[in-house]
Formats: sequence, structure tokens, C-alpha cells
Amino acid sequence: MNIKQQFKEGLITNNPVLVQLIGMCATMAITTSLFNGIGMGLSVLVILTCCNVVISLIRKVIPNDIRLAIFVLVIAGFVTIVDLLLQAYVPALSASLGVFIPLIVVNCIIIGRAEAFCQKNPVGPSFFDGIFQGLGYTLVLIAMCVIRELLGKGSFGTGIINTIDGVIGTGNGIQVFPSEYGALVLTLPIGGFITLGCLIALMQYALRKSAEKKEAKEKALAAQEKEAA
Amino acid sequence: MAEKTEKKSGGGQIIKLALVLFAVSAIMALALGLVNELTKDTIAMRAAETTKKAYANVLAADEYTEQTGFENDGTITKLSTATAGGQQAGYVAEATFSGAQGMITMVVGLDDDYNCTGVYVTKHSETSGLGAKAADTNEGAWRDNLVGQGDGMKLAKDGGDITAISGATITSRAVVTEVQTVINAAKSLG
Repeated sequence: MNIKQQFKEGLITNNPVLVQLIGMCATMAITTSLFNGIGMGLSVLVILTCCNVVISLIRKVIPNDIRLAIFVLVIAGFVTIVDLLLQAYVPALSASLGVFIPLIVVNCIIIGRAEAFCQKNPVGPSFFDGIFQGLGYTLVLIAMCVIRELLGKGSFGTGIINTIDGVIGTGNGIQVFPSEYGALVLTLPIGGFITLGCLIALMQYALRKSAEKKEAKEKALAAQEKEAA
Repeated sequence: MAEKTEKKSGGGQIIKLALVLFAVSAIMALALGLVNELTKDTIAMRAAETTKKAYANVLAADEYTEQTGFENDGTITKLSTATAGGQQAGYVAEATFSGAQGMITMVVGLDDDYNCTGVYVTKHSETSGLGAKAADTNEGAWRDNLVGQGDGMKLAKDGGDITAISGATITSRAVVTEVQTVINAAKSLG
């Protein structure tokens, strides 16, 4: 498997959230501001990459019977490390994501990739798998945040753009239209379900469209060959 | 791999599994210990900083002196008198109480006449977009409504004149009630 294909898989054809449908709890819970989305996405990316590398490194010495216990141990370790680092150096993010950072331990993206990919592949591909799956996750979070923030509160880029005194994680972003006119339901958990549902539908539509196109192309090619023969 | 493990005798295999698990646990524990050691001081410093900032935000003063022996329903963790320029300026309290979703930790400032000078939520888990607005510290945020309110303060719904956060009456009521509790506590100091 080459890097290019892994890149495409992580971001599009095998996107963790939109195609594999894993790691959705946090996706719906925290995507209320751009700052949260980017912060959570990058935290998962870092944890996923670290866990992938370590699990891939020790994949040959892990006895099959206790592999899940070891995966969970490694994942919990890295999550706690990231949690502590965030509390110390990015307190604003730690405060706004709250319990969802420790909850990455049970986020199935990480154990899912460990089980499906890292225990069968060498370190190099596992490393890139972590980066690209993490990126795919981050992009979905960003898309959800932008949609929910804009339609729900009428703002864009909360915590990232227009911060108070340049302190990241503060301020209200750019107010595109007054927040009273926003559909508040979108910032609530139910809005997370609706937004995610729409995104998944869009993704499936796009994937099917491109598959159909490919099929039509192949058919046309086969017909041409037949004619030529 | 699974078939191989089954062929081996039970006892030795279990010991091997235990050893591997132990080794991985030990390495992770060591790494965690190191990171904890590295970040411990910074985290404690951050928490102290937040509280200090909250104090200055609700009632600026030169000195805060912790008091004891006030009337407490168990929610107030610390009550201090504030002095500015050698004169008593008011009271600052730290309180932890139930909101709509979980515990809220808040710093409350009162002036010498027991009127609220400000509140600052330092920790909470209220619903984002609703109850979480109580923790908003931007200009024009909901908490500004509490400034200047004195003894007997209530939400408009309960017969007072404080507008609740729309969609978050429980959080608003909890915050207002807690400020009232702090007022009672400060008064009991005499």
C-alpha cells in the first residue's frame, strides 16, 4: 500500500467518521466551535499516530490472547499524557473540551485502527495511517463545526479568529449574522446528529457517483475493445 | 498465532501473558509518571492563576483575607474579605454548587453593602450554547446582569428582575441562588 492511496483512504474513501462510522460520540458532542473542532482533531491525530507507531512496533511480541488489553493500555497511556500536556500548556482547550479528552481512550477510531491496521502492518505505513486517518477525522470535525456554528449561532471561527488580546480560545469569532436568528437546535446534541447525518449522506452520494462514473468508463472501454475485435 | 497458544501447556502460557502485560503496564506507568512530574507544577500554577484572575475580575483589591465562622450551606469553599487602599472593599467567595449538568465552580464578589460586583465561573459542565453562557466573560455576557444586584435577588420568573439565560433557567437559577447564599454568608460575618 503506498502513501498516496493511504492519504486518499484516510481523507475520503475510508474516512473514519463518514465511511467507517467510528468515533462519532465525540464528533457530535464537541463540534460547537471551530476552536474545539481543531483542538479535538489534532489531539486525536497525535494520539492515534503515537499509538499506531507503538502498537506496530510491538505487534510481533504481543500475544494474540491479550492484544486488546495491551492496545487499551497503550491508548490510555497516550491519552493521559496528552491530557496532562493540554492542561499544562493549552488550558483553554482543556477547559472547553473537558471530559472529551480523557474519553478518547474509548474512541473507537484508535482501537479500530490498531486492530484493523497496525497489528498487521510495519511501522512506516502505520505512522502514515495515523496521520491520514487523524486528518480525515479533523476535517470532518472542522466541517461540522463550521456548519453548526454558522447556522446555529451565526458566527464563524470562535476561539480562532478575532480572539481577545490574541489569546487563543477566547472571543466570539466573526459574527456573520446576529445570533438571535441562528437555529439554536444545531448547537445542541440533536443538531449534531442532523448535521452528521447530512454529511454522511453527501459523502455516500459523492462516493457512489464516482463509482458509477468509473463503472461507466470501464463499460465503454470494454465495448470499444469488443468492437475493435 | 491463536492455534499455537492453545497447543502450549496452560500454566507457562499464562505466566508469559502476565509478564508481557506487566512489562507493557510498567513502561506506560513510567512514561505517565514522567509526564506527570513534568506538568504537575504548571497545572497547579494554571489553576492558581485562574482563581487569581477571577478574584481580580469580580472585585479588584490589594489583599484578600480568608475568613471563617460564616453561615454556610456547604457550597462555599472559601470566603475572604477584600481590602483596597487600607479600607474594607467587600467580600470574595469561592463556591462549588450543582448546575443543570454538573458542579459549577464560581467566584463571587460583593461590595461592602452586600451588592454583587461580579461573578466568574472557573469550572463547569453546562450545555454548550445554553447553560454554558453563564461562564461567558465577554463584554455584554449574561453575568453582567448580576452586577449591582443585592440581597433578595431573584430571576424574573421567580418574581425578581434578573432575566434568565434563554433555555437555561436551571443554570441561571443555580447561579443566582448561589450569589444569594454568598450574600447571606457575608452578612453572617457581621
